[in-house]
Amino acid sequence: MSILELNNVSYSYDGRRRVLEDINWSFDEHKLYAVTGRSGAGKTTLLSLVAGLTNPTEGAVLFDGKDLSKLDRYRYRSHDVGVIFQSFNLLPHLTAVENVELGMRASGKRIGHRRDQAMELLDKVGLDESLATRRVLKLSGGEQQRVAIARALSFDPKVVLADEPTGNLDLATQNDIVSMLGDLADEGKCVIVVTHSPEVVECVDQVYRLKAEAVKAKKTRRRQSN
Amino acid sequence: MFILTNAWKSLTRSLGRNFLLFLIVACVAAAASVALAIKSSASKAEESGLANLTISATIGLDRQRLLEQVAAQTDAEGTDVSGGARPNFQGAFAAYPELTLDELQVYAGEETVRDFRYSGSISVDATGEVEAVSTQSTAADDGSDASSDEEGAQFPNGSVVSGGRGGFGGGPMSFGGVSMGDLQVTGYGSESAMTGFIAGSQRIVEGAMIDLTGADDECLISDEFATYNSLSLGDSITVANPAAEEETYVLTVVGVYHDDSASQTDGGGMIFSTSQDPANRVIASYPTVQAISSASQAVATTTTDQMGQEISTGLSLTTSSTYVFASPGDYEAFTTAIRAAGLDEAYSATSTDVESYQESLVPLNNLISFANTLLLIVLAVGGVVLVAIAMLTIRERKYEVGVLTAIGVSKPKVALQLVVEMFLISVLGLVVGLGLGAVASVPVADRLLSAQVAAQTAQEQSVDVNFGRPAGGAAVPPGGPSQTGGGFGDLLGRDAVEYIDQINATLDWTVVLQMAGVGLGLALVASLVSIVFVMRYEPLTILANRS
Repeated sequence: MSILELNNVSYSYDGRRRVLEDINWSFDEHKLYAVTGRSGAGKTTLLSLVAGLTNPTEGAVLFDGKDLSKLDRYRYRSHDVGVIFQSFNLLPHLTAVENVELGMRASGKRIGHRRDQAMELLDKVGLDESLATRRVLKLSGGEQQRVAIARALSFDPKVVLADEPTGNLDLATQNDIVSMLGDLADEGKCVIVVTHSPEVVECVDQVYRLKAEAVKAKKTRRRQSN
Repeated sequence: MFILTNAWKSLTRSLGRNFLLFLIVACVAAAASVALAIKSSASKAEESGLANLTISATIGLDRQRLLEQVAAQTDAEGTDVSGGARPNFQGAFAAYPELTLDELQVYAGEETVRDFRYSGSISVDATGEVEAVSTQSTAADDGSDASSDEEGAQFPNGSVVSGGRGGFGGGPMSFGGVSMGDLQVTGYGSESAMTGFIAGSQRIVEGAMIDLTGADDECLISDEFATYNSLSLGDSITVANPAAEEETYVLTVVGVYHDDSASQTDGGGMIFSTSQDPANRVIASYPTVQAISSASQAVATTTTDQMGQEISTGLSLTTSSTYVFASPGDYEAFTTAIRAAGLDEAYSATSTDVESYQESLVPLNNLISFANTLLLIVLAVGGVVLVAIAMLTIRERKYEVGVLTAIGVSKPKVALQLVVEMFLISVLGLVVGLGLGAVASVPVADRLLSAQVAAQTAQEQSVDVNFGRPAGGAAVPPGGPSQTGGGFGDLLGRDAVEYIDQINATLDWTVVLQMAGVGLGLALVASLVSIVFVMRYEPLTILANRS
């Protein structure tokens, strides 16, 4: 059984403008997925549905076989899914490590030595101690993106969602991030990346493409390992 | 723990915004605590003043009631009172003489009576080597040359005193058939009745206190009287019945007292008789005065005047008695009890102490009213400002709310975090505000109260001036004028009220608790705004708008 399934999912804003229509996709653990499509095709809306930030107007999103709309979505978001937002959504008055700790504390999971683990995670995503203890507003876009990744991973979720994680990043950083996401999939997580980037698409296990008039899934070749 | 940690981080990381909130809460708390402290202390002062108020009352003929009774009786009998005829009030008054000491003492036995004080006065003439002290302003001297021809002495202050008889034209003066002499001998039944000595306006400066229980003809004289007549301890003074000069009584001086009111008499007020001059007041025991009066009555002759009223030459003893009560409630109980004990309806107990006390509270009540208004304004303005800032703050923190809810923090938790922040700021502001209030409350209260007292006094003085009286008059504390004072002097000026001009506006636990309630109430109102906003926010909308 897939960890995430979209069963006949449709979504419309204000009951009129239909963005998604009858989507039937499934996502498994140990895999890195890419969701692509033109601007306005509903990529971010789809990510919001999978992240439990909203409910489909038709159909259902299933997590571990259970309808997400019937679950405690706050608990789902804090426990089971780590989201890397396009605009990072970090708290500016906190330092990088405090933002990561916030994710840990919000999950309610018992995580010992939070500060050490947060520092370790930040180190893993390429932020040393001096960067980790800076307020996030004083970090570059790429560094903030890494903090957002660290926060998404801080409570060890089963599913990791990333919305345009490589947007506005230089190529070297892009590669770093994609490699990192690939590693997460290798570790057993289900990683879903919403992206425009052909470079990212090249690296994933499976690509779902959204079209305005229709939705089509296309298998791509196995991503290349670094 | 998550909520507390987040709240603390948010407080410490957004100092500017939180300091503004803290400042508002502290200012509101300081102003409100001053207002509450004033209100509380003023109310306490009022209550404790009333609780500690000693009520003194007298029993006397209720003239108005008697007049009404006689008028009603006359109407019932169908007596024709037209053509200038009047009901027989004189006869009615004659039927109700002044109550004797024995009768008054019956009511002193009521359990609500804390003390019963009595004194009696007789008016006598100084005779032999002794003369009454008389100042130039004495009405008798102003109106006649008789006294001014007599030898006078110059006192150091320039006031000329001269010996001489009291009364208009130098002759014996008579009021209501009672001859007025130039000395007043006052006999006291107990030391508690000697209010001048208790209040400190009178004190023995030489010799000893007389024995108030015996009729031993001992007396105290004023230092002025002693100086004027070169009297010393052990000397005797002879006093005569103004209506029968050959009838004399001898008193032995055992002490000399000083009377502040005598030394302060500057001749500004008009005195009808030298016996009204405090310097001419001889103090004895009540039994002594009673014995003199009884002896005089025994040898008195009686005549009838043109009005048909009997006039006795005997020295008439005017008894003055006062019942003292521990509280206004006891006084009320007494007024009921004396009726049950058989006091005729024509007599009644009266006291002006409660009214005087209420009048003395006017500035205090004004202050309470001011404090109430201040409190209301401060709370209203503070509340509105706090809610406005809370609304602005929550809008400013919309993004933070969006992020927290997006990463799975429930809305109630986020709202609770904001509430905790607001409460922490409020508690801090409250503590600092209370501190400021504690420092400011006493001087502010004193200043406001003194301004109120000054305004009230100025108003009283203005009224006095309008009525042609000397501005102010003599200050009289609640409890009535001193028994040794009063007399005609009271008719010349209205008694000034001694306003309560001191309160202890320190913050006590009651105020602190009230302030805690006020502060937390304000914080709750501001928090409710946060809660309403947070519950309305949807993370997706917030973050989408932000993106």
